[in-house]
Amino acid sequence: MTIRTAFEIALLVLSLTLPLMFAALGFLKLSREWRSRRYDQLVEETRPLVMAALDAPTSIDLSGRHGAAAETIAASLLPQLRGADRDNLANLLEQGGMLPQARQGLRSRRAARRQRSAELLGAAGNRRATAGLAKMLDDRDEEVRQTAARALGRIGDPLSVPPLLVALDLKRVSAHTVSMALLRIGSAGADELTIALASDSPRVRAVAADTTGALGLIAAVPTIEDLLTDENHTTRISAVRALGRLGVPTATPTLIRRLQHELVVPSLTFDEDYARALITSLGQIGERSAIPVLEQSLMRSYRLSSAAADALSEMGARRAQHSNHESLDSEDRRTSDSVPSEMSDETRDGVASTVTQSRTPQGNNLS
Amino acid sequence: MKEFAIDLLSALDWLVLFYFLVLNTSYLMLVLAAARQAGHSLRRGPTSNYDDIFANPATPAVSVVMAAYNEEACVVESVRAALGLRYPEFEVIVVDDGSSDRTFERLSAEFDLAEVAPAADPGVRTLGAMRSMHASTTDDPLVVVRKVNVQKRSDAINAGLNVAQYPLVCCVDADSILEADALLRVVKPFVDDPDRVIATGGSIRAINGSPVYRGQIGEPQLPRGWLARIQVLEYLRSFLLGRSGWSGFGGLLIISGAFGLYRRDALIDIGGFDTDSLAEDADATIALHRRAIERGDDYRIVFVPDSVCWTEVPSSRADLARQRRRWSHGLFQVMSKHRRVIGNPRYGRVGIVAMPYYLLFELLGAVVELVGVAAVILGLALGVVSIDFAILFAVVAIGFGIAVSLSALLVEEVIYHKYRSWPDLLRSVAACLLENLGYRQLHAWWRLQGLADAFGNREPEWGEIHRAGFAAEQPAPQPPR
Repeated sequence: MTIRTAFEIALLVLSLTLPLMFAALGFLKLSREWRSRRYDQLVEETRPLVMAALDAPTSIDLSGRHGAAAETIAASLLPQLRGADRDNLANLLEQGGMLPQARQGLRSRRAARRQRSAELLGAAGNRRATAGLAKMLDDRDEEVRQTAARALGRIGDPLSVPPLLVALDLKRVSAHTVSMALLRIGSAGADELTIALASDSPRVRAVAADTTGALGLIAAVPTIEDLLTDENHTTRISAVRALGRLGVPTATPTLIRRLQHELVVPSLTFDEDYARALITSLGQIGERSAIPVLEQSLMRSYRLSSAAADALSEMGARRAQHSNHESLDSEDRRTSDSVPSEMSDETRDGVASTVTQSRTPQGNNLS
Repeated sequence: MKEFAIDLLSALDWLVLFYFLVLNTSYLMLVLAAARQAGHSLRRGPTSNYDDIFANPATPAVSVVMAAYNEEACVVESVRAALGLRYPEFEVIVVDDGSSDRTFERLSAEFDLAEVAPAADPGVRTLGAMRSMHASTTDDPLVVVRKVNVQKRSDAINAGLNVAQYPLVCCVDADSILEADALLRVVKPFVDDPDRVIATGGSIRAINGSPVYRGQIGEPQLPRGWLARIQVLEYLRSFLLGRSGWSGFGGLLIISGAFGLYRRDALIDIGGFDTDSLAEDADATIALHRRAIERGDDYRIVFVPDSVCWTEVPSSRADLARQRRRWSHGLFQVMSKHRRVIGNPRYGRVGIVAMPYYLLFELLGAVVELVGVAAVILGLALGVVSIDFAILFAVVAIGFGIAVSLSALLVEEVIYHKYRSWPDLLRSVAACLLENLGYRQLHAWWRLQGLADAFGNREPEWGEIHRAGFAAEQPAPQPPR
């Protein structure tokens, strides 16, 4: 074949392909607009039926073209609903055959369908799906496993806690997903969580510590304190964070000892993240006895000193509130008035200039 | 002699043909690979867990570092956009890199900045000294660091890195606006796979012409000028779909400096961004690959296409030429610095596929393109190439380029659908044609100049890119889908 022939063939292919591509672009846009209009219309017709079913749990016919639209509306509404509203909508989907279909869908060969089914069942809080979803924690598709774990959290059955912790240990599901699921299950899973604090797996210990802290399970404090010297870095930090969230004053001496130890260890073994977590937790607990070690931390690296400044500032703000003084607005928190009165003048000035910002998290509500 | 010339030109033609074929086919394959991944995400999209990431107390906090040099036109909107990000816990660090305009004054007035004691960790070396540090008193988690300018953006980012408090650091440009949930999206790989992911990057799109209201982008619109419109298409093909394809393959070599998220310890481990590099973003990404591979780490560097950063692209030819010459010069520096990786099986896909590809098609592509054109012109002059063959060659080369651009546009229309109006679609199609009829050749020329600068060891022309700022929109914004 000569080079000219090769070019001529290429030209022929292009002269067929390019017009097709132009046409496809136009067709895609047209069809998208048409589908979008049709869907919007369908949703507009179906939404009142779904909303009516929320107010009064009556049976409505969801067969035919309204069925798919109702499923979509319900799926988008369900995660935002709680209590009776969610139950009514879930009943509607059960009667309409969508939840039974979703339970069957958990066994589908298509990963996308298994995932969508798990999502719907989780959003509906469908306890009948717990066993099926627990099995899916071992699914071959990673996204399906993550969705199944989230769904188990939304259903909130404490029986899901052990399989979730096993999936975490085997690295089948991420720690982040499992911790959120455990938070959603809440104190109903407290017994399993307390046992998990002594697990052989550092991943499980870390997540259990974080979750017990976030759930406010005070009874677990002694076990969490034992984890402060855990061999695993993440577990140690989780334990510190948990104690800070729990805000138990009796944990203060232990935290102070750990921080004092960290501040004198040789630089090679110094764990800055751990020290930062200790400082933050001491600030959250807010005991006066922590002030000297926090002042000491002000003299350290920028990351430690700013954490210490924030901690001292937080303690000052809280004490001011407790004292029933004038309410502190965010601007006041940056001034030296907001730091505890036990501090030396030097430290007060240091805190006032080092406090750079308040770091109040925006999220972390479990609604 | 003439026979030798004919043989030589014929061989050259075959070589150039083969090169074009491989180049455009590889573009097409990357676009298709990206389309496949995007289709996968689209099918599962509604089940994505961004609300859970927002609500979970275990979500890692992020330090957003923004380098600003003479950005008075858009810095307030950019910072407002960053502060308005939907994310549970983060701080914004603006590094005012010795601006001579009113960048700092605008920030100070808007966020009521108060000077605080300057302090930073010596995590990475910086060249320009810190002059002062300021914190917002408007309850925004904002810190502004003023430093001496050393004409290196990387130095400003490194200064921000030393002030960053959180385990993840997100680098963004001050002429850019992140979509409200961009951070939640780009952090997802870190929360799903915290042990392995060391860096993620979001997609970059051109904001020129799109309305911005209180730090949020409204309904995206194509820019007014053709130069910027063509860049929209270029960013779509190369920065969005190209990087998606490379990411899926495990060979992502560039996380854009305009929007990248890194593990802070990993960045510090490689010494931060290289202040000698003109392509510090590519350099850092390759350095992260190298460090992880040399240590035997199981790691991932991931591109997140649906996490979007909107940035102002150069709208004048002079600005664009300067930018592209600098990019080409920078790519040469990166390839020279990491030459040990090129073709080295020890570095797996990065060494065997990605680096040689960037060397042959991204760095030397301009040379081959222009050699191809020169060969045809020479052939015409010597009478060894007929005029009809020259036309045939040009039509096929341009036609293939148009087909690749159109395929990218098809993916955009099916998957992302950011530009919704019919006129914008028609303008995009026209941009596909114009890109291949003039822009591409001009671009090749700028890249060649950049290479010449690199070979001649000449200092790059920095100059300021003229910013128009963001177009204001009064009504409430309609977030892009």
